[in-house]
Amino acid sequence: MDKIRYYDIRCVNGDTTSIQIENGTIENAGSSYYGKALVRVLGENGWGYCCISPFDMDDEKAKKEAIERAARAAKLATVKADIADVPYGVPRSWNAAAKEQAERPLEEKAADLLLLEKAARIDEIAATSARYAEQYQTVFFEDCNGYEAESSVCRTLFTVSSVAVRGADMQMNYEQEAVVGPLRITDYINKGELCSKTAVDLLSASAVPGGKMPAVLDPAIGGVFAHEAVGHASEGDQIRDGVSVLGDKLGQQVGSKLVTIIDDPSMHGYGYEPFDAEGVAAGPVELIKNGVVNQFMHSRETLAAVGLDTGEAGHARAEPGMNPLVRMSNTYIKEGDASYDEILETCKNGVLLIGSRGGQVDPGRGVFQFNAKYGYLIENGETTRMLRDVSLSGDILSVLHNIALCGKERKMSSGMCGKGQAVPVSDGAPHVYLTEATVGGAGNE
Amino acid sequence: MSEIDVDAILRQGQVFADEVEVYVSRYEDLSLEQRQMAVSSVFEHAGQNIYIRVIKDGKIGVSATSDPTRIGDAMKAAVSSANLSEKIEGWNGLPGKEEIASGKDPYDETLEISADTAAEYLSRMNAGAEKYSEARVVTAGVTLMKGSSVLANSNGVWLERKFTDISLGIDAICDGSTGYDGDSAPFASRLNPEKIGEQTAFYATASRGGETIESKKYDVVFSENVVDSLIYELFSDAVNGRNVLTGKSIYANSLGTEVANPKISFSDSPMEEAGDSWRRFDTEGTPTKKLDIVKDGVLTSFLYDKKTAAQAGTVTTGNALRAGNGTTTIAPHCLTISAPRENVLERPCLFVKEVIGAHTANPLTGEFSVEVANAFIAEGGKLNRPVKKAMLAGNVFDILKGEITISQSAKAFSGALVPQMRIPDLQVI
Repeated sequence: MDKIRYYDIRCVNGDTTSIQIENGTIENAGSSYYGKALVRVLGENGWGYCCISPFDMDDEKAKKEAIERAARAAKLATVKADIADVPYGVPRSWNAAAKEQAERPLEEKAADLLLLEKAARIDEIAATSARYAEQYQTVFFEDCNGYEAESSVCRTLFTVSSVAVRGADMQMNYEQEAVVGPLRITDYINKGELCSKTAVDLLSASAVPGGKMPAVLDPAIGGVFAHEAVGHASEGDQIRDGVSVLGDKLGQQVGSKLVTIIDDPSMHGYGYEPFDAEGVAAGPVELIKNGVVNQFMHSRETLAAVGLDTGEAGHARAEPGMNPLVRMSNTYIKEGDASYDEILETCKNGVLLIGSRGGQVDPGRGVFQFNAKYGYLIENGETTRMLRDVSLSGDILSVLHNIALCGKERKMSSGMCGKGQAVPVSDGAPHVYLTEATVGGAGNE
Repeated sequence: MSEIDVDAILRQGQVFADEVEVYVSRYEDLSLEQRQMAVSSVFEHAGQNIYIRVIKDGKIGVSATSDPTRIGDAMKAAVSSANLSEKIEGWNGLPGKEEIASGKDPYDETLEISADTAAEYLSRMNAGAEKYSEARVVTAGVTLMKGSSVLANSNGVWLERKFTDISLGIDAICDGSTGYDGDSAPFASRLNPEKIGEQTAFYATASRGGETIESKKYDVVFSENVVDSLIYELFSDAVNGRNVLTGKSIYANSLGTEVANPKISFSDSPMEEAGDSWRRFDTEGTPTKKLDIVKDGVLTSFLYDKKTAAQAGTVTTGNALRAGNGTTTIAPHCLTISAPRENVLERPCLFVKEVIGAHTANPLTGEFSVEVANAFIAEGGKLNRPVKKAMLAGNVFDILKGEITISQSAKAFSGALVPQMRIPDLQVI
């Protein structure tokens, strides 16, 4: 018998129903199904994983065979890994099952989505589309200590997008809402028109001249800033492997005292996890507290490797059938006390970045980049010209010092984060004023 | 893995629908992950994806499952899906039995899915990295995969395909400077693990320090990775027949007009010898063929699957692939570019190995502003001085109208054969 120091089984079953509408026509609608289990064994040294599909958690013979197979794989691993003993915690329960929504006929949901998409059809809009998806996922977890946990979570989202055309010019915009639990499209019909109006406005927008300048981030792009600039660099595996610029900065001031950044898997946001891929229910973790590196996010393995006093476990997440990785969930910059007007007045001349088209970071170098959906020039403390295709990049260790004001109101936005595997996340911030940032755009003609 | 009775699924579907199609893809893989220069974990994976399409009165329904015990649910979902979907005017049926050109599948008979094979790849990458000993290899990974697919429909089509894939990746760090390289191929003979390790350690080492450069226009050379993730990605979206049909392509009204420099041509070559994704037929069973997309700067064709082609009043180009929910997607099998060739690093330039944020480019208008990584001032074929930090701003579709040149050699990616590209006068911030 191969040596087994620990094992766990995470079995995920689910179904996804989606509707896609293009220019007033239902292009496709329907459901797909999945079911996968990951059996994980910590052998004498390292990990062995075995993914099986389908898998019956009540089939003891199949379980035994899978554990033996993962144990054989683990024998080949020679890097010693340990796991920290941590409390499993108590999962915080939200209304995340959405039974009523699941039972509602697909035709009614399609009719609602058609209304949303129809609202986007205004003058100068040449193309519209809308997508709706609901996913019901059940997770069964058990480990060799006899611990068992089960969760059922529904995630629902819609996206509406518009293409505006004027002569040879084209611009696009999209709006999205994604939640844990049920979502009524009819509550968001105005998003269709809002989406299109912005696309039309972008036809008159200009490209920003790139360079170093003051910048104001709206809550959506401020959230991406928290996620890219701080979140990834605070993941325990990056710290353990020595590829994060924050790795040796625990307890050190790396930013303005106004900056507090938190990750919270228990929050009722799109990244909500009742318990993580190791069965651990976690609460909020203050990654940066008043500008000081305070805690890292960990799995049980990285907590043991980096140090029990360096953060919290409960941040291991995985796609169905995949190995747990240290990930963010709901990440945000804490509110400050500045009003929006005060932020613009203080900035005086710079750019306001609005909405997110995504971002990326190299935590080892400490360099990040993200792109806004659009922006405005700030002149004499007021927003003036609309800007398109405006991005921002910077060095983690310098840009956090440049945060001079944080607004009073925080908003969260939802999306997916890729790190080899895609997991749902949310991030947010109040309006944030940066005294200097590198702004990218094609307006340097 | 349990056997999947494809004929039974077809029979079941024909009770409800005029036409039925089943596409089953099965795979087994083994992955080794390395930390601290030794194997840290071993991953065994086996599974299948079952895609069902039914057509009733010209309406297409789709479903998919990775769980064979839920094929019945998937069939019911596909029928419900067809009931809700709009009728496709011009739909002329799933492909029938057609002559498929002879040719090989991207399948390496000699590939052994074993830990020993995978461990050898790790050792060879590590050996390559040792040439730059100041760099520390952080992690490395190897995945060995074998798979097969069956496509069958109620018109009698039954097509089988086999595929293998070897994926390698390694990253390193040196005084806060990072490097990454990776490659994948269906055949072991196409991979050079030592070179991958060497390149990774080289870029981590050579990128240290770095100078700040003036904000102005430079001649910039994109590596194959950057050309693939920025230029090819946005170009492929723009010639995708679905984006054209739904008004989401800047090329929508440009067929027959000049969209690129007359010295530039793009084509899709599914059986290109140097490509990685040989396909004799697409995932609907349509025989593939070489397709000119841009010829001497003029846009000559978009890419289509059967459904989109019917909606657009044209014929499929055999470019159907498959999405996770069972619908067809459209993509090139092996996108290739023809343009004037030169040693792109001979004249002075800014060479950019990687960019951060390629996926944030505007897919409709082609505008991008991204941060560079592993960038160098280069001349005479040499990377002379590392650049500390810079942003690049431009427009992919404008770049293709300019006087670009490409390298003599090209790197194979999934769905593309990609050279390095020299771009004159690109804005650097």
